[in-house]
Amino acid sequence: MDFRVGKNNYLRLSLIAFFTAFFLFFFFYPLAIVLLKSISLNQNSFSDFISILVENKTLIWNSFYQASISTIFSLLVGIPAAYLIARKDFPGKKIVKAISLVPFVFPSVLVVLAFVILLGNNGWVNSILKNLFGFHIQFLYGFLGIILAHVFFNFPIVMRFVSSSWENLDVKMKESAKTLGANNFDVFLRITLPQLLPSIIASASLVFIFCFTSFAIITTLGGLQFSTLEVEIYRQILRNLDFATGAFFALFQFIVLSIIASLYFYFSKKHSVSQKSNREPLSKFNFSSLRGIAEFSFLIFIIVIALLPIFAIAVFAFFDPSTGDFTLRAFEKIFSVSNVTLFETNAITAVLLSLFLAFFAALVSSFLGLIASLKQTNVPFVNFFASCSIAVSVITLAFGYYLGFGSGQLLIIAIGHSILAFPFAFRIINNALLQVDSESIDSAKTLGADDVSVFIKIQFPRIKKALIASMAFAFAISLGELGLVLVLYDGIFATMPVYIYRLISTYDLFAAGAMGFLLFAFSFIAFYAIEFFSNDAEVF
Amino acid sequence: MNFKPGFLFVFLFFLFGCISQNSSPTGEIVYTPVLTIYTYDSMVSEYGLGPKVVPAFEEKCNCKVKMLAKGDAGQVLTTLILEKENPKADVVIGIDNSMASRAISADVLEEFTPENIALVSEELRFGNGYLTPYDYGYFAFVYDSDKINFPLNNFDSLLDPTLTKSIVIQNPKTSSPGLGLLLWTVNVYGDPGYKEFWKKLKPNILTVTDSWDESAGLFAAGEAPIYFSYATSPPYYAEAEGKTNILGARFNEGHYVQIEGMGIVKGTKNRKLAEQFIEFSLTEKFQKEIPLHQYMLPANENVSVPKSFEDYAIVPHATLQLDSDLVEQKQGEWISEWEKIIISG
Repeated sequence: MDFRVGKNNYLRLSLIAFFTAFFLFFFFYPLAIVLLKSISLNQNSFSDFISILVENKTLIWNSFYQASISTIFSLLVGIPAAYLIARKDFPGKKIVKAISLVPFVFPSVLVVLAFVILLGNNGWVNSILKNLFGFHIQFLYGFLGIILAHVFFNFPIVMRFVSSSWENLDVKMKESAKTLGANNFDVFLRITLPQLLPSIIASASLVFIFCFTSFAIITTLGGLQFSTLEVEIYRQILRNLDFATGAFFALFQFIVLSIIASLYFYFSKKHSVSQKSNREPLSKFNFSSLRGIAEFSFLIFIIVIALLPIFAIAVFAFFDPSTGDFTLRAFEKIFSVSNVTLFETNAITAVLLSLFLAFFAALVSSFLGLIASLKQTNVPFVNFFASCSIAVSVITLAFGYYLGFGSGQLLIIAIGHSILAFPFAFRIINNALLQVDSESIDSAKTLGADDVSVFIKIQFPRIKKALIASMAFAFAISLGELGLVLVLYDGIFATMPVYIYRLISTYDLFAAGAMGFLLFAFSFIAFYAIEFFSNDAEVF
Repeated sequence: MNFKPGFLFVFLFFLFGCISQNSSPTGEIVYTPVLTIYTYDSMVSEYGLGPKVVPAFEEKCNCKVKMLAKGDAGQVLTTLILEKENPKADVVIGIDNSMASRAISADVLEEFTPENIALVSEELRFGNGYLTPYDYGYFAFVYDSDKINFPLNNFDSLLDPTLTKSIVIQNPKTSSPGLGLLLWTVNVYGDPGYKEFWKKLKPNILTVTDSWDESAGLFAAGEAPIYFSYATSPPYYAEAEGKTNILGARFNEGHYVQIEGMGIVKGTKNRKLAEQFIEFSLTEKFQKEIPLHQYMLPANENVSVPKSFEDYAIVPHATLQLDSDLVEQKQGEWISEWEKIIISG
């Protein structure tokens, strides 16, 4: 730390002041308002709060139940997938590994859209079932569809965490156990599994949080019969105008999530395994054994379920439903200007608006992430800011903005997206800065370089790529974000996800497919940039 | 590239500047009064009534009409209540007979009775001088007759075990047809009899949507063979989509009526213009567009309906409607009882 008073200190102080003010004003203030609102609930004794919880026990039970089941199944798919990544060598492995970014860069509305196309009562899977076997399975409008969508969306997180831990397992222990006569199953149960456990629990808690606060998937695939706390907070605010009850739900949810989030932080620290252990060499698929075939089939299964949704959306965007011919009609329909005069938003403004928000969030969140990561600025409580945000659901934050700043304000939406993207930007930039050789910084300082020139000459050139990756990540997060905009857009600022969400709601799947394909294209550019510019995007 | 942190600041200020410019008035030199109307989504859609009647009115009034969709009718009222202190709208379109008492007691409307009310029959007038009816229709279950091959002629026929997970309805909390259906069952079965009926109906419900559009979408996509809609929906399928297999179920119990009204928003700064618009809404120019754009019946008695209405719209045996004070008083309780039945597990 450099305590000399000088012009750099003014810069440093103003950066810290900007950062702190930004978070106080746009993160803690809105949350404080939500908290105050929940206390203003007409009830005043503790037992009254309990009675509200009892009254809504179905809702609370639903939230826990679906999140638990989703987590369990994400583990069941994610752990074998992690095994393949960690232990097998196959062409295109980098691409399969990249699937782990899906939960962050693939907009949830597109998951919903793809699921409706694939699994609706009239969807592809059921059409095949009906034609071949004469029956159909009702996947959507209830529990099953929610679980399937959540597993699709979240198993890559498990795959990511567990595989990185699995790759670094020390092979020596395993071999000594085998020499002592342990069979494969024993080795897995007693040696491998305990070492993987921190990564499994860390990923499971993260998946649990994501499922608990899932929004688009629950509202569209669940229907009114299956609602959760997060969705009910939204309904209480925007439909019933019952702010007090909504705030109380938000508070309750925050407490639950904080507990789970601390689990996550505790175990994710434990899970970072040193890279120096004796790694087990990778093996190829052995197609002559049943096991090899099973492993390979599972790999194909993962690739297919990762690609199928986007394939389905593309088909709906580009092909005529009745004739099966290639057509751009769906695009023409959404971009036609016939109803521009009455609607304040049409497809073109939705695209422009989404891009504006995404660029804004990319710049602002990366700028904030940079301030937070620089040792020179030494912003207090940065980790606290970054970790707090994981326990705050998007709808809760949006609710805070709604109460604090009112709806229908584009700047607030843009700032909200920057806040949502901040933890990721911070981590990416921070990891890159930590890798900058501290010796060269020290020697530069001994030679009289000040903080600014250290940054410009030494740090910045080395984190350029990370900055781009961080911006791409924030761009993707803002682009796919639905809940916050839905609470705050006031019927005016419909972004691409909102546009798609409304089209899905009215089952205009072809128009939704066209817009969905565009959204996917933008997300994919961001996704590609992340892959291209970061060696190993450490984002968790 | 020589990186300067200042550059980012400049860029940010530039962005902020762009935004604030967008929201500031554009500084028009010639002042044209703007009438702001809040309504539900389908009114302003490409094929809706809005695009038909707005230009006609703009020509007459020498003003500009800003018709804003705020979701479904429930959300429109919600928005009005939210903006009560600082109203942005002048006219609201889409407050129906079930919602009327809520809107009036929320104190978001100004009293106004147009002269043209004389063109509307006595039975359709509602809202104690706060609302002017512009169209009406009867609720009905609409079904695909290719998929349903037995007569749906009363509520009991909906309980048929072959209809498991086949019916799409709307949430009474958020949608006006949804509320209409709940009131219809209360009207037919009484209180508490309606609860028994809903318990029996539950297994046959595929899903409950927040708005009518969503239900119609599910039905159109073939996800469900029956959905809750209007007696005048079949003419839509015949006229707009050339489908004659989509029929309305005519119930022996009679059909609940929905009358849609418009009113002047309390605190409007364009009262004269708002009055002018409401007068206009009852003229033939406006009313003749209702059948084929709203698929409802025109409130003006003198306006006739197209032939497809005679062929496909169902005419109820009896018109049902609960007393509006009773609805106001008990509606909250009915809805929460309904929720308990439908949302449990």
